[in-house]
Order: sequence, then structure tokens, then C-alpha cells
Amino acid sequence: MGILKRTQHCAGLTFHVRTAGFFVAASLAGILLYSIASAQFGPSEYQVKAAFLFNFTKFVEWPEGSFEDQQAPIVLGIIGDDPFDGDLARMIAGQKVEGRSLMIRRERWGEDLRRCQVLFVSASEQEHSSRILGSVQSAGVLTVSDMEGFAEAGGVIEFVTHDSHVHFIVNLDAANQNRLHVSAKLLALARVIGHSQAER
Amino acid sequence: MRGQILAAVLLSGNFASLCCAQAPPEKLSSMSIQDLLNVEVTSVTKTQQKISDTAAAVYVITQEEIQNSGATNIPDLLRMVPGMDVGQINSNTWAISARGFNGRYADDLMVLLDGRSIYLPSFGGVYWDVLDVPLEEIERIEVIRGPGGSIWGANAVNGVINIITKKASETKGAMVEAGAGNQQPGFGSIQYGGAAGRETDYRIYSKYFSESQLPGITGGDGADGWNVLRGGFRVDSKVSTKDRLTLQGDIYRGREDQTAKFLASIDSSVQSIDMGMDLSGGFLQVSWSHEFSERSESTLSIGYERYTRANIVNEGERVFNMDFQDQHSWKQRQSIVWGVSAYDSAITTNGGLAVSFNPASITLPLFGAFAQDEIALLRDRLYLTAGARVEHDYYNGFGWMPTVRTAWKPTRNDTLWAAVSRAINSPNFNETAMRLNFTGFIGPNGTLFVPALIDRPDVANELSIDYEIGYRTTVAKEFSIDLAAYYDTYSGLATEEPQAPVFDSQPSPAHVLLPLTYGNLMHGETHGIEGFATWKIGDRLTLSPGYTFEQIHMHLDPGSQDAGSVADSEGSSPVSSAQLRAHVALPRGIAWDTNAYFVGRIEDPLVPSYTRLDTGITWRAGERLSFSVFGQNLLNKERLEYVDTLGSTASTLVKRSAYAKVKWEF
Repeated sequence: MGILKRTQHCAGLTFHVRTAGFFVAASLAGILLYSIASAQFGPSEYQVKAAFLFNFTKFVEWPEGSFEDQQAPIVLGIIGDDPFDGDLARMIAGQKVEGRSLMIRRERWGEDLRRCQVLFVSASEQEHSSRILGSVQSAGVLTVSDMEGFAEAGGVIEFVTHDSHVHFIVNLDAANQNRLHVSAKLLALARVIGHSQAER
Repeated sequence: MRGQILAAVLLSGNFASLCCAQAPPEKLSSMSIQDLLNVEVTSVTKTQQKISDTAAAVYVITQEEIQNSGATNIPDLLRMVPGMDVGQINSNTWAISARGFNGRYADDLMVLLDGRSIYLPSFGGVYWDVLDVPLEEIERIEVIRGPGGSIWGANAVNGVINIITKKASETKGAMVEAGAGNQQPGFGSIQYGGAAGRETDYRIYSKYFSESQLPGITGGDGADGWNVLRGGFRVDSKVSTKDRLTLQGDIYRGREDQTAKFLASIDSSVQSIDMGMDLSGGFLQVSWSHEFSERSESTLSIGYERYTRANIVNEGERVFNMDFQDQHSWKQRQSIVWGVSAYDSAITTNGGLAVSFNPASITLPLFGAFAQDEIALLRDRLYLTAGARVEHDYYNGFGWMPTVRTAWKPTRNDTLWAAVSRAINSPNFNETAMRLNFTGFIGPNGTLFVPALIDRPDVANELSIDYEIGYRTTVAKEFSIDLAAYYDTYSGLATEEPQAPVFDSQPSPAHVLLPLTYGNLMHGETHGIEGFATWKIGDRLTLSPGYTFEQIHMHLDPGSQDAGSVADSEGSSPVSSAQLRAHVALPRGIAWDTNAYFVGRIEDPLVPSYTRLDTGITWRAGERLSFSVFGQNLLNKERLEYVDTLGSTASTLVKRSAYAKVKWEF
């Protein structure tokens, strides 16, 4: 039996090397084909959301004392898994809003989230969202998330993706509570919720 | 990376992290809000499908659950997955399987670490003692109960475990963790992550632990203490907007004690001796993924792994593997994945009289190709998935493993799914090459008889057809339920068939050999249900109950003379097991976790039912510092948990223990 196995073994090895070679060639051919065939598609959901985040900073006024000085940057905090994959960073690189540059800060649990001007709460933080919102209450932080029900739960802006388009909901009560002034231009494009809406 | 992508296909939980740059983001930043509202995004279908929509019995252990579990090793983490059987044999040896057929050398489970298969062709299982990473680095563990052969190949018969570690970009900064307890005199890990340039992130880590010996069954010490020192790294680089490169690896060295069987000569009885075993090994893997478009991505990964274990049998193995897969979606209606893989494992052994291998060394090539198509019959409502894998293995040539799955979402919050799959379990090196000599005995007329289990090179594949259904519902945001039921049929299962006695002069002295050899003469059915729920009560309390029922019925084919396999298989797992986990978030950053696991009686070899209770408190003292204290196995001073049928390793007693640890990030 031993001898039989050894011969089989040698045959197997030759087969293996040849087949491996075939697989490599086939893989490379496949890659090449796809490179040629690949067409251009639209941007990803999170690229668009990143662009929205950047744009929001132009339409929001923060309460007095939010910035240390005239040069202090607008801090975009991200808590939880970063879904932007560097796109947000590339998008804001070199940009200025009202003379301020923008910077991204990856926030961790337990850190002082009130030092952000914008806080994106990643969907990974679903379980903690109420605690996160609680920790920045009235602190002049624009909270944004794409978790379902985020605006209802007291977040300022919630992204809603519907029919391949990204929309957003603004909770005006939450904005007021956070002493944020949201421009009417932005509100005109949003779905607005909150009691204050009725008073307007 | 196979798992990362394929898990994404089956679980679709990883899609969000796969999609990346397409249209230059700079262009988007100059668009007005009005314009942005009109942009059509293409990744919607990718992110849409969540784990809750998957047509398979899936459980995902999150990083949060890892922290809350108080577990210090991967086997203990798997206890929380309903349908998984985890039995600790001694301090450093576990028996782990899903849906029955458990054993130290259980061979029905596929295990992947970042997509790299760590299932070993030598015995068809995993050495759980050396499967380790710092638990803080794990992003999640995806566990599929039931067959996954249509993607992962033979041996993914009863389940797939995919351990996914965090990207290097998510572990920046330094982290030091250190702890000690009565069972673990010392453990700790150090990790540092940083960036090398704008597009490259890395982390390096080192981990060490030492475990004391557990009490032996007959009193005294169990002689099963062990320690492992490990170091590893991961580099993630965005080579271009469309290409990512991941390089990862680790290396370890350790020593563990076990009580093993030793045969000095065939006319003496088997002795149990305490043996120290040196462990060493490591792996290196590089993965390259290229995104052709939002709807198409390919990944190529190449890996190398080796290990040696110096014990009664000195064994070593090196595995070279290559995987390629491609994923393509069409018009949000179809999502196709296909791939090819090639493995090459070389095993070397140096056995003794009790355990030996013929041939002592072997190279096992394995090739596979698979394709799977997920079709949205009704978008967001009804999905059909069909796929198959063809594999060519060394022993039995071609085998194929098809699956058909469907998921129906009558409402947003409900998913009903059903699946039929065919799985095969190909023979491993143990079955085809291992010889076990048992204790020799003197017969009535003074003749020496030696019973032995002798390899059989032409062992056939084991076959199973599995029928599964499941239902998931989110009753309210705070309450969700997941149920799965299965009925599996098996044929050609391995049996041990007695052969005619043979007079043999080798090894001396001359004796009558009573050979047992493998047959494929058992068939049977298993059926079971698995259920779990997550219930959030207010802001502070989360309860996670779970229940598993499993039953195995085995029958011998006509002609089989096997005496033990039916009882072995039927009695390898408990009929009922249940769990209740409670997480309480207290003020001031304090969390209190209590996890209780009930495991029913295991019949063969007999282990009485038991309840394991772990509880602990974690205090997050500020931004970077946390302390925790955990008690484990609190209900029993010591208890038996699992016995290896083959008796290759002596069981010891799991005991009540406690540890404290501190974690500092800076």
C-alpha cells in the first residue's frame, strides 16, 4: 500500500503544479477582462453622505464659544466604525468654510464628544446612540447619523437612503436644543420634524 | 480573504466595507446640496442586505459581546452561539462542533481567520489551542451553522466560523492589557497601531498567557498547564483608489502539558504519561483586492502557514494556499460570486508504537472552484440563491456541493428562509494513514492479542443532504427573535469494522493482530432547532436567551460489524442546551455581565449535565482606562466537561476561577 500511495502522491503533485499554473493564468486573464469591461458607475452611498456632511457645515451656525478662536478648525467627529473609508478626508482636504479649515477626529467611547462641531454616529453605535446623544446634549454639536429613527430619537440630522438617493431629515427641536442655527436653505431641502416646525 | 468576501456574499454583512472610491470625491464636494439630492448612488443593493436577510442560520459575535463575555479565549466565545457544542477536555484541549458529531477530532467544521482556512487536512479539524489573536482585535466572528460547502468546500459540513479582525486603521494608538487570576497566573497583550504615509496603516501586537494545570479526574493535578507567546502584525494599504493590499502574519511558540497514551512494547499495557509538548508555528498572508466598479470586485490572496507539535507523535504541517474570487452584481437584480482555490498541504509525522502513520509524510493537493448567484426575484421581498462548488481532493477526486437557498421578506421586519444543500466530508490523513495499537492482552491459551485500528487508504467521502428553514423577526426595536430548524441525512459515515485476526511477527513479540479498519457503513439523520432572542429592557438591561435542541439517529448499513460508532455519534452532543446572558449598563461607566450556560447530559462517554455561570464587572475609568473582574464556572468547584472518545488525551476538571485585568489605551 505504501508504494502505491507514494506513486499517487507524485502524480498528484505534478497535477497540482500544472493546475495551479492554470489557475494563476485564468485569474490574471479574468482580471484583465474585467479591467477592460468595467464601466463607470455613480459614486457610493457614503461618498455622497460625506459630501453632505461637508456641505452641512456651510449651512449651520454654531453657538458662541464653540470655537476657541477665529482660526480653530471645524471638527468632524466620527464615532464607531468609519464608513467613509478616507473619502471624507480627501473631500475636506484644503477646504475652508467661513475661513475655517476642517478636520476629522476619530472619536472613541468615553472621550469628550463635545469638542466636535459635527458628530457622525456610525451605524455600529446603534446600541449606544441614546447615550451618545445624551453626552452632547446642549453642547452645540451637530449630530448626524444614518441609523433609522435617529432624528426621532433626538439626533439633529438623519440620512435616509431611498430609491438609490440620499435624503435627510432635520429635527428642528434637536437643533434648537443644541443651540444650532440651521439655515432655511438647508431646511427647504430637508424633511423637517419637531414641534418648532409648527410654530414657524 | 476568501471569507471576507464570501462571508459578505452569504452574510452580506461586509459589503459596506468593500465598496469604496469611484467618482472622484473632490467632484462631489463641489456639488450643492440640491445636486447631491439628485445623485444616484450605486452601492445601495450592497449595503441593503443585512445579516437579518440571510438565508442561512447565522450568528454574529460582535466585539461588544466579546468584551461582555469575559472570555479569554476563542473556544469560550463560541459558547454563546446557539447550536455550537463546546466541550473543554482539559486546560488546553477542546472539542467543538456545530449540530452534533462533536469530538476532539471533530471534522465537520470549517474555520477561517480573515478568510484564511485554518482547518487542517491532517485530521480535518482545528487545533483550538493555537488559534488565537488578541480578542480586542477581533471585529466580529461570523458563525454559520449548517452546510457551507457550496462556497467553502468539503468539511464545511455542519458549520463555518469566520473570525474577522479589525482593519489596521481601526486600531491606532497603543494598547496594553494585563491580567491574572487563579487559573491564569498571568496574561497580557501589547498592541501598537500607526500610519505609514497617508494610505497605509499598520499594527503590531504581542500576546502571552500562561494557564495553570486543572485538577485531575482521580485527584491530584491534571498535568495540563500551558503557555503561548505570540506576535503578529497587519498592514492595510490603499495602493490606489481601487486597490487594497493587506499583509498579515503571526508567529507563536508555546509549551503545553497533556496526559497522553504511551506504549513501550506491544506486550505491555498502555501507560498514561505526562508529556510536555512544544508548539510552534505561524502564518503569512497577502491579499490584494481590486475594485473594477461599484458592482464588481476581485480578491486574490496567497498564504503560507506552518506548525509543529512535538509530542508522542511529532507532527508538522505546512500549507500553501491561493484563492481568487470575483464578485459582480447586475442591475441590482443579480449578484454573482465565483472563485477558484488551490491548496497544498504537506504533513510530516514521526510516530511511535501507539500511534504511527503510513506513509509518515504526505502532500495533499486540493483544488476547488465555486460559483453562486443571488437573484432578487422581487426586490426587497424575495431572493433566490443557487450555487455549487466542485472540489478535487487527493483521495477521492471530484466531489460537488450544491445549494439552493431562498429568503422571503413578507414585511420589513420578518424574514423567512429555507435551504437545501449537499455537503461532503472528504477523508483526512488520520483516517487514511493512522495506525493505533491498543493495549495488548494475553488470551486463555497464552497467546498475545493486539487490537489495533488500522488506516484504510480508500476511505470514501461521507455525504449529507441538509434541509433547513428559519425565521427572523424584529418584534420591536428592542426585541428580536431568530429561529432555525434542520433535518439532515447522512450516508457513508465512517465506521470501525473488525477484520479477520492475523498472525503477525512484527512488531515483536509475535502476536495475533485483531484489526479494526474504517468502513463507510453508517447512515442516519439528525434534526434540531436553535433559537435565540435579544431583548433590550430600557436603556440599561439587555437579555439574550438561547436554546438548542439536537438529536442524532444513526444506523449501521447491512454488513457492518461496527460496535461503537452509533453510540459514539449519537452520544457525542447534548440533546438540550440553553443559555441566558444579561448585560447591565450601570452609571459611571460600569457594566455588569452575567452569562449562564446549561449543557445537557452527554451520553458517550458519559458527562452529566452542567450549568456554567460566569459573571463580571467592567469599569471604564475615563477615556482610556478600564478595569474588569470576572468569575468563571462559579457554580461548581470542579466538574467534568468533555471526554475524548479515543482517549487520546486525558480529561481534567474545569474549575471555579476568577481573574482581574486592566486595559490601558494611549
